[in-house]
Amino acid sequence: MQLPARRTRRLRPIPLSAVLGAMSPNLIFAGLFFLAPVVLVLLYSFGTLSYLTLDVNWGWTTSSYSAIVHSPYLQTFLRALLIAVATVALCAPLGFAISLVIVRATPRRRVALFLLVLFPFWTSFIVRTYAWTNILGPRGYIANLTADLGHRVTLLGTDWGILIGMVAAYLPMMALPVYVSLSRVSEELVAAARDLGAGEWRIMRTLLIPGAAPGLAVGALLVGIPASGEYVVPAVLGAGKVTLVGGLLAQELQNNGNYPLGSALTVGLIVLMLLMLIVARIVQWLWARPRKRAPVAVPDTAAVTS
Amino acid sequence: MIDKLSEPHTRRTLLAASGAGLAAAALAACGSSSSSGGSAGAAGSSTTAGPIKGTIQFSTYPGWIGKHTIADFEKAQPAVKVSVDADESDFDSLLPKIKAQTGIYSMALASTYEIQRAILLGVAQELDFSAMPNTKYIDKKYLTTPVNAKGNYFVPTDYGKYGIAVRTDLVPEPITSWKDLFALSQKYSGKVYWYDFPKDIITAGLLELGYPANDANQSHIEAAGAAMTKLKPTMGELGTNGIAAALLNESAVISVTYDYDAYAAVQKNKNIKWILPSEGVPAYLEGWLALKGGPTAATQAFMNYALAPKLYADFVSENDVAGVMSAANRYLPKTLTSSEILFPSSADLALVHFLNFVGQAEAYYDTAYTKFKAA
Repeated sequence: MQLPARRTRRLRPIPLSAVLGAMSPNLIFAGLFFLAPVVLVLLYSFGTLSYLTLDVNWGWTTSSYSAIVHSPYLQTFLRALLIAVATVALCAPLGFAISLVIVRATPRRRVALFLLVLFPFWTSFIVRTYAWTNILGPRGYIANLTADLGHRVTLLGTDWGILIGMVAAYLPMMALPVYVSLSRVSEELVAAARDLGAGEWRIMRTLLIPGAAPGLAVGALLVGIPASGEYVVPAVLGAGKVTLVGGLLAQELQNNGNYPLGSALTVGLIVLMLLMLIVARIVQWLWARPRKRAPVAVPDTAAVTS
Repeated sequence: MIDKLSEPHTRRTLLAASGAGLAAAALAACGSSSSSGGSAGAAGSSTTAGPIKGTIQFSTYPGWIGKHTIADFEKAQPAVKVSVDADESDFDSLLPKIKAQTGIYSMALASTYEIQRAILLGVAQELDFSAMPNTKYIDKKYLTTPVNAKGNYFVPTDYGKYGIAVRTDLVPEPITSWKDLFALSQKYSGKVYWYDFPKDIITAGLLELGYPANDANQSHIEAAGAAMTKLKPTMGELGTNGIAAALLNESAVISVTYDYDAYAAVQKNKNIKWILPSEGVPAYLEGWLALKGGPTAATQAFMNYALAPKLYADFVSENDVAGVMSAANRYLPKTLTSSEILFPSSADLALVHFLNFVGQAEAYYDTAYTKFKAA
C-alpha cells in the first residue's frame, strides 16, 4: 500500500528588502569600521607626502609601492613571512603535544593542565616579552650557559631570539583549538584501534593527527596572521636591530608621518595575510578531498573452506 | 592677549588690545594675589598682565623638569594647571598629531631642528620674551640661534652631545675618531651599543665618511645610511635605555651615547672614558616651544617661572645635563660643573655640531634611517 504523499508547505521567498533590513546593522558596522578604513588606506597609498608641510597630495602615483619593491622593505616582508611560517611550524607540533597530554589526562589533572596553558595570559604581554630579555640577553641564561660551553651565544637582537619569543607568545593560540579538535576524537575509536593491534605511531598517524587537523588549521591562522604583523616581540627582542613589518609601519606612520608609504606597507601586509588565508584554504581543501584508497584485498573464503 | 597681538593687526585692533591689556593690568594691580606676582618672589619677576589661567598641556621627556617646579608653579598660580604628557618619543613624531589636532599640546620640549620644522608647519606660537624676563639668564649664544631669527619661538633648556664612551680597561686600543670606532667595531662585535636616535645615527655615518654634519646632499646621506647599515651587524644593541649602563656590567665595552648617559655611568666606573670624535660630534640643542591653540600667557608664565636660576639648577642637577645658563652654575654641585663631559672646554666645544633643520633633505635622513632599520 502506498502511503499518501505528505503535503509540504513551500516556504515563501523572503523579500530582498527584508533581508537587507535585517542585515543593515551588520552592514553599517562593517562598512564604517572595516570597509571605509580599508578604502581610506588604499587611497592614501596612492598619494605622496609633501615633507615640509606634512600634507598628502592625491596624485594617483604608485611611487610608494615602487619604494617598497626597490628597497630593503621587501626583505623585511620576506623576513616577517619567514618568521611567521617558522612560528606556525614550531607551534603546531608543540601545541599538538600539549593538547595530547591534556586530552589523555584524568579529568582533574586536565583542568590543572588547561589552566597552565592559560596561565601566561594572566600577565601583560609586554611584561612576558620583556622577561625573555633576561633569558636571551648578553648576560642571560642562554649566553651564560653557552659561554660555559666555550662560545657565548646572545640571541637577543637576532631572528632566532624573535622566533623564540613569538613561539612563547603564540603557543596557547595553537594549543587551544588543537585541544578542542583532539577532544572530539572518540576514545572508543582509539581503544578499538589498539585492540585491533595498531601501534601508537599508527594511531597517531591515522586517528589523532587527522582528528587534530581542523584545530591545527585554525591554530595556523590564529598564529600566522598576527605573527606576520607582530610589533611588540620584534621591538623588544630585536634590540632595535631587527625590524619586522609592524616596526616599519610604526616608523613610517608614527615617526615619519609618511601616511602614503605607511598605507602602502599596510596594503602589503593585508596582501600577505590574504595570501596566508589562501594557502591555508588550499591546504584544507587538499586535506579534505576524498582520497583514492587501495582496493581492499578480500580473502577468498571459498578457498579457505575447501 | 598675546595670541591676538601676534596675529596680523590693524592700528584699531592694536589700540583695542593694548587698552584691554592696560585695563587688565590695572585690575590685577588692584587685586591682591591673582597676578603672576605670586611666583615672582620665588622665580624672579614676570610682567604678564592680568590673571592668567588655563591648563598647560606639556609634552616632555619623563622627569625632564625640576622635581618641584610644576607643583610650586601651580601653588603660585592656582588658576593654572600643568598637565604633563611624559613620553620618550621625539617631538618630530608628534608633529603630524599636533598639525591634525591644534591645541593638543600647549608647549613641548623639542630640538632646534624640530622647532624649525614646527615653525614652517605653522604650529609654533611666537613667544613674547618681554613677558618672560628670566630668559635674560640664558647664555646669549644659545638664545640667539637660527630658530629665533624670525621671532622668538625657542627657549633653550639644555644640550646634548652624541659621543663615545669606552671601557678603557677592556678596550686597550685608543679611540679618537669615528673612523677608529668603525674600524674596531668588528673586533668588538656585539659589544658596541648605540643610542638609537635617527638623525644622530646618520650624522655619525656622515662624519665618519668625511662629510659635514647638517649635510643636505642626498647621495652623501644615502652613503652614510649605507655605512651604518654595514656596521649594523656589529652593534650589540640599538636602543634608548641603558646604553651607557651596559658598560657597567660589561654587556658592552663601547657605547655611542649622549653625554648625560655617559656621565651617569662614569660616576660609577672610572674606567669609562668619554671621547669626542675628532671629525666632529652631532649634538642637539633643545628647549621649549609654545604651540598654537594653547593658553599662551599661562605657558609663558610657566616657562619664565622654570627659568629662575635656582629652579633651573634643580632641573640640571636632577637630570645631569649640560646646561645653557651660566647664571645657574653657582647652584649646581661642584662634581657637575667640574665634569668635562657636561661642561667641556672651549676646544672640545669647537667639535660640537648642533643639528639644524635641512629642509627637504630631512626626508633623506628619514629614508636613510628607515632603510638602515629595515636592513
